[in-house]
Amino acid sequence: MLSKEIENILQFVQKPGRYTGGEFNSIIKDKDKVDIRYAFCFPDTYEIGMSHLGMKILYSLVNEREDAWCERVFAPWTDMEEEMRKNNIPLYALESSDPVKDFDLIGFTMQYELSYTNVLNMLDLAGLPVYAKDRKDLTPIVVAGGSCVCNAEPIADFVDITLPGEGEEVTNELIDLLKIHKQKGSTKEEFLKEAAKIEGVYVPAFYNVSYNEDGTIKEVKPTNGAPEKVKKRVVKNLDTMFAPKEFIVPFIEPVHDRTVVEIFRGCIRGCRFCQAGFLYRPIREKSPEVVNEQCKAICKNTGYEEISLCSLSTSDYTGLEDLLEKLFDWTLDEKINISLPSLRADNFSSSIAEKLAKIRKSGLTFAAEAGTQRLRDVINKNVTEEEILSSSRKAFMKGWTGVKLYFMIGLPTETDEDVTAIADLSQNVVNEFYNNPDKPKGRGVNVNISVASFVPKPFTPFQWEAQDDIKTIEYKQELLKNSVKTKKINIGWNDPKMSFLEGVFARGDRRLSQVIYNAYKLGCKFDSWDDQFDFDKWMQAFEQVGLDPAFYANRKRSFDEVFPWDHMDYGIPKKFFEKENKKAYEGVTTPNCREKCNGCSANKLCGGECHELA
Amino acid sequence: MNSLRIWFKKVGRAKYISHLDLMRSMTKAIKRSGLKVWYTEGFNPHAYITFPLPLSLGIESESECVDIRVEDGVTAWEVKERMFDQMPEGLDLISVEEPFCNAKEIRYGRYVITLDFENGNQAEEFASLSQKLVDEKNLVCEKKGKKGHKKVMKEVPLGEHIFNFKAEVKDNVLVINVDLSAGNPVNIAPNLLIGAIEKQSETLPIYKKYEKKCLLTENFGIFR
Repeated sequence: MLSKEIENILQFVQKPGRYTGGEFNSIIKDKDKVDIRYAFCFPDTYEIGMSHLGMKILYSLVNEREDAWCERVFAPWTDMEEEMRKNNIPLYALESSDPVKDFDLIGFTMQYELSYTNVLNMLDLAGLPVYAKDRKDLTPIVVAGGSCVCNAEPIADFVDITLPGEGEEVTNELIDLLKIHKQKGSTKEEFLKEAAKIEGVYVPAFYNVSYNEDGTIKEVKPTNGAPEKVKKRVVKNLDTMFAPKEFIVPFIEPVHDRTVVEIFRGCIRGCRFCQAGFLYRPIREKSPEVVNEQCKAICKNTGYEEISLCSLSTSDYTGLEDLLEKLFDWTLDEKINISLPSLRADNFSSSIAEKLAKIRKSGLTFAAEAGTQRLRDVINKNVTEEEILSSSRKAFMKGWTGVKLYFMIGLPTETDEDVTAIADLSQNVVNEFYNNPDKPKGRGVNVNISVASFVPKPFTPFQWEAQDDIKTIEYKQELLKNSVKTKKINIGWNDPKMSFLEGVFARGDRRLSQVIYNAYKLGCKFDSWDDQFDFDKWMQAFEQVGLDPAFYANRKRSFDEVFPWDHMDYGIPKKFFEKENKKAYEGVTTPNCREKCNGCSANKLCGGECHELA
Repeated sequence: MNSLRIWFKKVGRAKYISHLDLMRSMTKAIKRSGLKVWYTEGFNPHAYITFPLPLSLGIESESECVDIRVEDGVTAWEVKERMFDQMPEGLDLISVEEPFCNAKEIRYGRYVITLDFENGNQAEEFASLSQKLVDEKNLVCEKKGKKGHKKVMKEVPLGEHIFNFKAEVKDNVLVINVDLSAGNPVNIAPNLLIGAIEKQSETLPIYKKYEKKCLLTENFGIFR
């Protein structure tokens, strides 16, 4: 299927397997027998994209249809891009090797703000204009989904449509609609007007944004009959929801090479920094029976020897013990491992530790997020130091010799004492290991602490907060480094400059489209890769456009400010977040949704009851 | 426990699967097949598989093989039945047999090299240059090697490793049939031979295709 032109350049690039397709379970159709061709684009490398669950779901979902063919596209690494440009080879899809520009739908999944330049670069490599207004034909329509599109404004000029919320249902509706309009020979505008009527479809071009003199937003006005508020899509029942029975089995090793099955969506916790915890509400669980069957099917159809159960907080799954028992019934015999990411320190029970110890020991990670109880109360991370220590103790007693702890710096109200307390808490975990009378002889302990810089995100109680500037974060990193007194503790960081840009684009408005364009023109791409990231070029782009990035990231916003994403409706009203923000400053925690309903309204999304805010 | 040799093709885009990736793919194919195979007994048990001779990336093959160990009672026929549908695109299963030769007996590989040129004259020119260089036995290729832990380029003289060389031109295409030393201690992939000739040629092919036909033992008998 590969043309001789493509084959000729593959000999000059690293890992040609990234660009060939043909993997087991990849789907080949007759292009003359389908009505809609869908190019699912992941704006990063093959290895990262092939680990992404959302892509696997939508790939299978679209390919279930006889009238559509979904293919995969990844960002070519710089060596491949160079060869492609040199030899005039346009961006192509892996299954058919056909040029992406000939597809009907080009869908990008936006997981991370620092992949925006890759979207532009991929459109350009495909031979398409990067600005939506310059793509005049009905097809291809460029669509974006994923968590970043809760505020799609920074990429508003480039995409035709975004899909806030969950994609399982709306993707099919969009394909149905485009099929009709292709047959009718409609214009792009005619199609977009109809598309904007579908729940969970946002057409950025149909909204006019005006600004105040201070640069904040004055008003966002819909045109062309588009809705005032674009409501996210939610799948109501996870047991009956489409889920893939097989995954593509890559030849080259992706970041995560295993069976992944979701156990629930949403989160009961309400940690005030966590965007995912609010974006994916309300909580909806899959039954253990359905999860078990899906795991069985995927293992059988892929040959994978590891299952990862996926959710925002695995130990909050009410059916966890039941599920593990069902899984152990067949996985032990078949030598299949189970990994449980996202465990919480406050409900990590001995019986789960017992069950986990039976299977191969993967790492254990506990998210403490902050060093002091005061700050953990501010962010509503309802975990105590004693819970973290006792969970570590249980793990050490079951034979683990290391744990990983997640922390953040730069949180609202943080002081130097909060930062140095991270080192103290980690030291106490180290001590737990040595206090264990049954510790393995001759073996030390490893406590890896991953310290991220806090980035305020839309649809969280901290969406009004000022992000710590780069200098402050660097100071806090240095402070923490100097507080750690033992080599048993290893610290991992985020690049503060990357976190800064992430913060700018997370809460940015559509004037930033111009900055992204200029940065891309200056050669920025793969910005989340240390070896590619060029901060100076980004600053140059801001300067060229005349926008101050600190305005977006480091400015404390007032409660009455109109946000660039206020016309997106994720089911939780702004006043709920405001209330949570005020509670944060009072150091008052909010109980989890199972203890008490706090009236966030998200249950209404599934037609459920809601205790309205007082 | 019983050793069986699975014969398969590696054609089309499957030629870009590296050796390490091929091993992982075969392990997964075996897992999917549900065959009762022998597992290693280490910390991380996995199906035991071994390749008599790895194939370089970018070369197609009409006859690759991998040896697996199955539990008693599992027949070659059953392995073929179960594995047939589990092979990825381009890795087409040919047959499953009891190993006849030992991997140590591999001496040569038999290749067909197809080179496209801009025109017939260029193809002729390259063909006669190739023939002359092979006859002179002075060709030297560059091969990746190791010096201690360092990766270095080593120069390997090809004179003693080229056998039954035959070059034929049809229109603008040059087809070379050749046997090259394979296995231990010297393994010469066909792209090394062409690379060495290209260094001394003014005209270069615009497209190159390498196919392995089979492996050969001491007296040019077929490795089975």
